[in-house]
Amino acid sequence: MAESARTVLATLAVAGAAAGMLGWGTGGGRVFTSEMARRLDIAAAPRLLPDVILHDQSGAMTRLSDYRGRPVVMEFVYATCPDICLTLGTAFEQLDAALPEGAALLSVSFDPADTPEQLGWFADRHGARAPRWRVAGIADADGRAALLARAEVVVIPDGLGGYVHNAGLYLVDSAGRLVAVFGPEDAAAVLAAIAADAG
Amino acid sequence: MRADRKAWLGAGIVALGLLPPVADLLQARLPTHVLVLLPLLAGGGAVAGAALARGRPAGWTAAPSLLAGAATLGFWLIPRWIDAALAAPAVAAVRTASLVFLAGLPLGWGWAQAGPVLRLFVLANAAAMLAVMGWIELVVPARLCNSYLLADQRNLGLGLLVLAGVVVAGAALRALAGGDQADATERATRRASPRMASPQEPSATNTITAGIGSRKP
Repeated sequence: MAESARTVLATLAVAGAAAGMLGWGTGGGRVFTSEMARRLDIAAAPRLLPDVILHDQSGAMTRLSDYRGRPVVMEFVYATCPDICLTLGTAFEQLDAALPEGAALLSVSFDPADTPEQLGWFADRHGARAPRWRVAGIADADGRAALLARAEVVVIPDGLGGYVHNAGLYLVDSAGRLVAVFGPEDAAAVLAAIAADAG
Repeated sequence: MRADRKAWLGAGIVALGLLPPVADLLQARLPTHVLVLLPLLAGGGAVAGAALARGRPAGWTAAPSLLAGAATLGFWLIPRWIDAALAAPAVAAVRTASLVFLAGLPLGWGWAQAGPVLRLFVLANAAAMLAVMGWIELVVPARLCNSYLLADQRNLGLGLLVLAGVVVAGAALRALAGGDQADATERATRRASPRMASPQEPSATNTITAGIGSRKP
């Protein structure tokens, strides 16, 4: 009897610790993937993005900090992307049509192999016109890596010469802080967030 | 094999999984990461845990040990933490330590201490969890790990389902091949001559059978 009582007590203690550990590890049962964790973390604690130099489709150079004072919606793409970037592109086209004058769109290429010419093709395909909607690469490898790391963009080779990446719509506020990441098709949520911020 | 040799064998298995080329190779793909690397680390701990349990019968520790091991293993199977271990070396270090000491060691110890009913309970639950996890990895349309391709996720799903099948088949074979009979014989023997079931008995048998029928006073 004493033995089984010990078993029950010890098992209950372990079960309590295990529930605590698993609860902590999943944000109370809400966060099972790093994508969910990233979105919650960023929404809870907006983060300043590194001030990288962007080379856009028209050959012009801009700093990310030049966008201070107005909201920017960013996406991370590569110019020859066949699938998810098209979904993103469609969302960006909707945003281009619906966003207020002051807001900007920025498609950032994470592929160092993207030439200005390729960025131009990407821009043409989606009707992107600078300066409202820039399609830009980052020449500086360290800056590019720092921006991707800060936004927690994970890019992996797809084995077919392309890339797979955790796509999303990134809302940067007028203070230059990344404040939210939305799903790649969730243009409506971006519009709502910008309207709420302006109002 | 003597107990201390087994502990060294466990340490060797863990060291193998920690060799940078081996770890990199196994972590390059999701199926090998989950189905080979994690079992290597936990398995090394389990070999050592089972060796430690030899000659130290403590049946009451079986259930809490197995639960602790299963929960730790479960934690590191959450997609978020698979990604996190790849992204941050500190997380990977914590994972290695906890897989060896909080998953493997208690699983090996607990399994050796467990009676047949508890063992069957563990196997049934393991099979069910593996099947559910495999099913999720197969049907979820989105990538669960940012670090791996969807095709890898599907392969892991298939692998987990196969593993669930192996666990079920193994348990069934054991039952059919007379595992139950052997237990029944052992119980009958013990009933006939209670003094034979002395505390020293487990050390005389091999590790696998050492804990069968955790002794009631």
